[in-house]
Amino acid sequence: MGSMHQSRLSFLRQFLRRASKQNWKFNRDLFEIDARGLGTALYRLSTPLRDYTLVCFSHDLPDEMRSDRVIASAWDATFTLYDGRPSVDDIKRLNQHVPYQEEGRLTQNELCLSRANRSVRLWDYVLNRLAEGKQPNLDRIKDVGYLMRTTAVYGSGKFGTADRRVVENREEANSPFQLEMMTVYLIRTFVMDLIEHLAEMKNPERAVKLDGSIRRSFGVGNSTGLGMAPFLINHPRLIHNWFEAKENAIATVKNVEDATQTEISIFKELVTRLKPHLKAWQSEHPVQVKKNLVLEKDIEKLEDKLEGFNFHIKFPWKTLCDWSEKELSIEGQEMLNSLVLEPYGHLIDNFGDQMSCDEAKLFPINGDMTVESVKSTIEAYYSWALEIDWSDPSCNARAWYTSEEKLEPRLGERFEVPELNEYEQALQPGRDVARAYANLCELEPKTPLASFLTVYPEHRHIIRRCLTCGELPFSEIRDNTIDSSMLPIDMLRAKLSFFGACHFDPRSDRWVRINMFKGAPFPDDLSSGSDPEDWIWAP
Amino acid sequence: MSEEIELSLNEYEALLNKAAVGSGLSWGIAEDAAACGAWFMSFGVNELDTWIEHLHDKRFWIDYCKKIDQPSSNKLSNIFDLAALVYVRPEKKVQVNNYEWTGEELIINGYKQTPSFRACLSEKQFKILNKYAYKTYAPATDESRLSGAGAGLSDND
Repeated sequence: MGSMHQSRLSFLRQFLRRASKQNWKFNRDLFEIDARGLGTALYRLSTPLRDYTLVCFSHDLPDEMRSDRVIASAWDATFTLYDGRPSVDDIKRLNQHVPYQEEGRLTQNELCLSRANRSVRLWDYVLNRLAEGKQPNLDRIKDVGYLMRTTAVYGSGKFGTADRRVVENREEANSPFQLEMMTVYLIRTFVMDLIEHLAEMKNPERAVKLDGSIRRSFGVGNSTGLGMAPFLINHPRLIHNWFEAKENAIATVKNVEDATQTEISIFKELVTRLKPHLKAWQSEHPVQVKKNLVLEKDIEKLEDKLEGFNFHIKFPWKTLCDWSEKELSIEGQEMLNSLVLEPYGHLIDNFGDQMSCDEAKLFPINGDMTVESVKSTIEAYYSWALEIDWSDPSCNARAWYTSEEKLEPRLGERFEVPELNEYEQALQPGRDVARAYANLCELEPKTPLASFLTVYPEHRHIIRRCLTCGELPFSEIRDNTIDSSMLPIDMLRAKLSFFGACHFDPRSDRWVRINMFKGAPFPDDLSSGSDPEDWIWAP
Repeated sequence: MSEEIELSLNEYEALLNKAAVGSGLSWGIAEDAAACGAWFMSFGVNELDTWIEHLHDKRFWIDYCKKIDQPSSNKLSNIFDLAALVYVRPEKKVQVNNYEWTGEELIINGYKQTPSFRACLSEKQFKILNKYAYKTYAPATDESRLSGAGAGLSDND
């Protein structure tokens, strides 16, 4: 999980593909921002059936107030994705809520809520260069890769926004996180417009706009904290669909008997992008630094392998993937798994349609099942959990809880702060399965499950989970989520790779900075026929 | 008159879930109790006062869950029993008192209820739910603010 990379099935790739294929129209309906950066802008995307508008509120935030933490209370820019075209009254209303983010209230007309902060490392530098009529230095901007970082993108009913159920039957919103991707994509365009606008306000005579290629090299940064990790545990059916789609895609490509010259060329060209991409992948975190050093060697091994590789054998991709399992690190294997998918959009892109899930209803528990049968399910699917010694403090070291202050998930040391036990959340399936199993063993094998749950109501959540996950092989992280050595950043990385993020830069064991849409075409580029796919693994 | 609070249905169900856990129900039972409350609200029916009354009655919710797990054991005596049955057998027609489920629609006193993705509740109800929900939140400390969320390195660059 901690080594996964973006792929054709990633949600931002699906979003761009659909926008291009359906020829979505883009309009900047409003851009009223003063020299200090204060004001409002509206960015509209029109699909064949409806409009979506990103409402942007730009602020002038003192440096000392800028923080990526979820506990921040002010940002450089705040956004909402409006369902349709907002009226003047809507914008007035939104201006009273969106800048306050979690403290504000939205309505069913709003689909997402987000905010972003300027990059302290780059913003003033790029602004001043443009104002002086010069382009920024490429090497300097590559190290960062974005001008603003979003610090949260909320949707699906959070803070009053529309429930997923409101939009899930719309084709453009059915795949996971499509409206969130739209939000981030439009934010990227706004950010580029904003810096060029401010440069012009600063020095109207000399200011220049960014060169097209430099402009495209900027993505949107994102800081993702611990809050995202429980999502992977709380949505087992959805997560199963994500992983299954990717596994099916890889299996499909491995089953390709003969590769065409075009397919081989696409793959080989992408491999040439890997080294520059890796060079721009900056991280100070020891875990990532080490992984990237190994990945550099992996890329060299892959290049060497390809030198003499005969693609005209039967099942060439399977041969390459099998080779990688012996020769490359997990990080390298995952990179190859994503790469081999690229030439095969015609075979695998449709798996993207199977990545969503109707989770509106709880998974039913069949109370007539016998205790014996539930035990068999657990033994078959959770043997890993039954093998862990839960009395070992290091296996039961952490407790997931929610902080009173910001209502956000946190992770604490159970034995250092025993009060946390009282607030523990249901985010340790392994331990809870083992506890339920021990109690199941006390009853007669033919006892109905409903009777067991009447005696042990505390196991209801985990029994439901076992029955759900027992049918879905990719639904469960088969590892201990409260182990002393568990790294939440691994969970974050898996989820973010499905979003389509790159340049994972862990800032601690529990939050990570990433880049999204780096190198991707802007809406104007898409309208003028730019390839929605051929920008990935950008440096 | 107190102000009405409008939540998305998702938020509402999450709040009910937390309130149920905060009042002492187990995680799994809280999920079903929250789904029950949200089901009524998905037809614009606010049965929250009754729902809250039952919050401290663990036995009530254990029995409620048993009716979901073994629908054949469900002797319909109140509207929550109706919700439990509809939850597992939505295609089945069922009536309890003046509440009628047609297999597709909820009819109360002869009036069809309109499905909605929003939850409207009184400020008083909202406060009560939050009072219980807050019992699930750990008090913040400086230690948890730093280490619990994993800050430490500069986050401003």
